[in-house]
Amino acid sequence: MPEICYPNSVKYHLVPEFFLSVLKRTVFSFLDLMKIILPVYTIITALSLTPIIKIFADFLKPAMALFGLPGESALALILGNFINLYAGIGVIPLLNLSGKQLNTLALMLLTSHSQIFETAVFIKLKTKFLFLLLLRIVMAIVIGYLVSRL
Amino acid sequence: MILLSFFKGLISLSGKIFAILFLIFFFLELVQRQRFLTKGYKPLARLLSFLGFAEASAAPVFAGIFFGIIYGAGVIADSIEKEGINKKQVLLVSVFLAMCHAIFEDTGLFLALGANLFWLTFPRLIIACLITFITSKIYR
Repeated sequence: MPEICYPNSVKYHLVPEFFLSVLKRTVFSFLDLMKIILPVYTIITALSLTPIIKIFADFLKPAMALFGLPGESALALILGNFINLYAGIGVIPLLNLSGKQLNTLALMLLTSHSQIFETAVFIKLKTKFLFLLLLRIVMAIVIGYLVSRL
Repeated sequence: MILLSFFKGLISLSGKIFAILFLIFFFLELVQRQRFLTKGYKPLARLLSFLGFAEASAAPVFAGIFFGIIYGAGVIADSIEKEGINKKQVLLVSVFLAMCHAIFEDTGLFLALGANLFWLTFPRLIIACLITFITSKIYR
């Protein structure tokens, strides 16, 4: 068979295999995320029919006002930090946030999330995990305050 | 009524997440196969050395920024064993990755929710660089 010269060494015969591999990774990762997001989304929707969320939100209202966020958004921060980022993401569509509030909450969650799991990773690396844990929480608070004020 | 909005919200959320994940993995797969990363590696490594990173720390930093903290940690563990990077370097890599990791996946998920791309990426990267730089100056 004659040798075909591909421009930039792109191997076109690999294209279907490429997309199959991308699709496979997407589906597995999607199912993984949904395992967390779906229960959180469902439970929080159910709880929103009861007074529990309202009591919780009123309690945390003054603290969250620091970041210009409604009291309910503390749920996203708590679940995002104690469970993982995806649990936090499961709550966000239920919060009815404005664009700016969404950016603030997103940046806070991106700075500090999945603390139990990620701290375990740092412990395994034998590095200063307590410093890292505190750094992330403090930075999330500082960033949240600054971004909400801009 | 609540049931309708529950399913509507769920379908739109999962649809967006699926679409974003597909884009992310399309890009990651492309990067991993074509080795785009290795081309832009040298100038970026020079930038990292300014922040206090040793040359051997570049690989774990890049792995962590793009693919997530688990990959970053895996590469650090590997670097400790093979290249013997020291405690300070492990801390610096950890500090950087603690502040900023998995910029495609995590950012993409918040993009799906409607957040702004600029706010999701630049502040994180700048703050991570800043804190790493400060840590490298303070830590002996």
